[in-house]
Amino acid sequence: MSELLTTDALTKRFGGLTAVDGVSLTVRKGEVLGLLGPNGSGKTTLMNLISGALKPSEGRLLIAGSDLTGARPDRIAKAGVARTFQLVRILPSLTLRENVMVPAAFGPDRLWGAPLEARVTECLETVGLAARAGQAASELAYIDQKRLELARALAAGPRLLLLDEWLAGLNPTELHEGIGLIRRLEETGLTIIMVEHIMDAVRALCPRCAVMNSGKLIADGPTDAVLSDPHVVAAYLGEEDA
Amino acid sequence: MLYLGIAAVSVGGLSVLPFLLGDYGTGLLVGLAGYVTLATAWAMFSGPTRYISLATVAFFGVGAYTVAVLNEVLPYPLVLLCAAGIGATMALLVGLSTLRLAGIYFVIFSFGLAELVRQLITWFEVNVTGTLGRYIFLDLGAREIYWQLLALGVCTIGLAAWIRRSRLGLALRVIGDDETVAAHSGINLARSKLVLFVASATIITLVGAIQAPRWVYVEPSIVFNPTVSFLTVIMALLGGATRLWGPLCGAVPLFLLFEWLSARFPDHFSILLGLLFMAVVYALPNGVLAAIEGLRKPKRNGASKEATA
Repeated sequence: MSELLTTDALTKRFGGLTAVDGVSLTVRKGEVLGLLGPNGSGKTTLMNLISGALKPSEGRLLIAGSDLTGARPDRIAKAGVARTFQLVRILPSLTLRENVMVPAAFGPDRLWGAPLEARVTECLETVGLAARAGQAASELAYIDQKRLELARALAAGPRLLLLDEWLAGLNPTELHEGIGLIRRLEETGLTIIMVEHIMDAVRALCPRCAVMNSGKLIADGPTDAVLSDPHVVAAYLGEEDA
Repeated sequence: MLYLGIAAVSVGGLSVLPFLLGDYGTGLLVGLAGYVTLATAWAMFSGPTRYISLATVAFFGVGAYTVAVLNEVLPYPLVLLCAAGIGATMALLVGLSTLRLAGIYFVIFSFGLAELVRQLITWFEVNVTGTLGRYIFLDLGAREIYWQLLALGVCTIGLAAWIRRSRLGLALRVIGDDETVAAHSGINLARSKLVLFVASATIITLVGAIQAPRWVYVEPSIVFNPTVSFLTVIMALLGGATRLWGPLCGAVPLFLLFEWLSARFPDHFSILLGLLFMAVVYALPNGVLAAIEGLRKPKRNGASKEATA
């Protein structure tokens, strides 16, 4: 399998704090990687570095072989990286349909007209919101906002999907549905990196896991092996409801 | 086709109005066409992005001053072209340096810009050319000026309508909602904002240039009157800055009201303007058109807000 994402000693400092400290990670096409770690360990900062929201202090970022170190988020989006946000971000004054149009129209595929409409309908159907396409996004309940955010990320036609705690805050029924939804995406061969605290979801969805602690990558490998690694247990699982 | 027909008939009707109204009426038409165009051009950028610009008079004044300086040197069409070029260049420089500013900082900067340009021109005229006031000797009556403004206004509304349906229009609405989402969706924030800011400012500059011959005598304190900026904002907000016809619906009644107020209460005009400004912002934050729509369709749960994009 070919390498889709490579981070080479990626580092981000905020003043005296090193939030991400020399993280080297490789994700191959079609892989689903769970990114774990205690709160404040640098997971979201790493996601922000990969998506271009933050510029690295040191290190390199390669996406599908091209060096995108320090590139603006719109360039990284055009290179095929789509994301959801830790705190859900919908476009409240736009309709569901318009929300989903955005990355399809401006992302790697730059669709317009009939192909754009087809992509929007397809993505809204994937998350089960097609019937409400004309509704204002501000009227959605929390779970549906999360669904809409996922549909929007998918509409880019991404090569790499970054999910930042997409399953957080859902009730058990919704969580079950959410896991099913991500599993179906996996089956299409989509490459995903997901930051996740819910261990059942990680075990169900991610064959491979990477664990961060204090900005450093402390483990990376098959999920079962990583979760039983004593370093990981000490750093992380002690305080979680594993 | 039907819409084009209606538009053609309306424009035809509007263009014969000066023959039906007297000199005073034609004077009003000049002001009306000017402010409709200013408010529409302002809303083209500030409506979707929510960057409230108080720089309208900076560009408007530069347009007027360009005509004052060049009217005896170049043929009139070239003077207009120069004004447009100067306005666009100034907008490009201002946009490149300020469109990264957020919210309130941009408002303050844009207000300061008008004053800065006025002071610069005053300084230049006093110290370099030694002529603070200038005369404009162009053989253009109110009627010709009105026709030019009408043409510019029609083009502006046409351009605004086209942008709303374009990719760029969608990009600006997304930027207005959430710049972070916009960037992560592949939208080049700086370029999208800059293109619209320059387009809007160029039209505003042309309004100033076309209206300049009405003054005959021009000096910085006349053409850089900040009231123009405030009137433009309040007109667009009253009608609804995110709607195509909003600025027009706000500009027409407010211009007539201001004409009446300034004739009737010349000493209290500023106070009345301020009160009206507050009333509009508090009572109709999304404009008259949105309020009417809200009254007509209270129960349809947003299904009516289907896109224009």
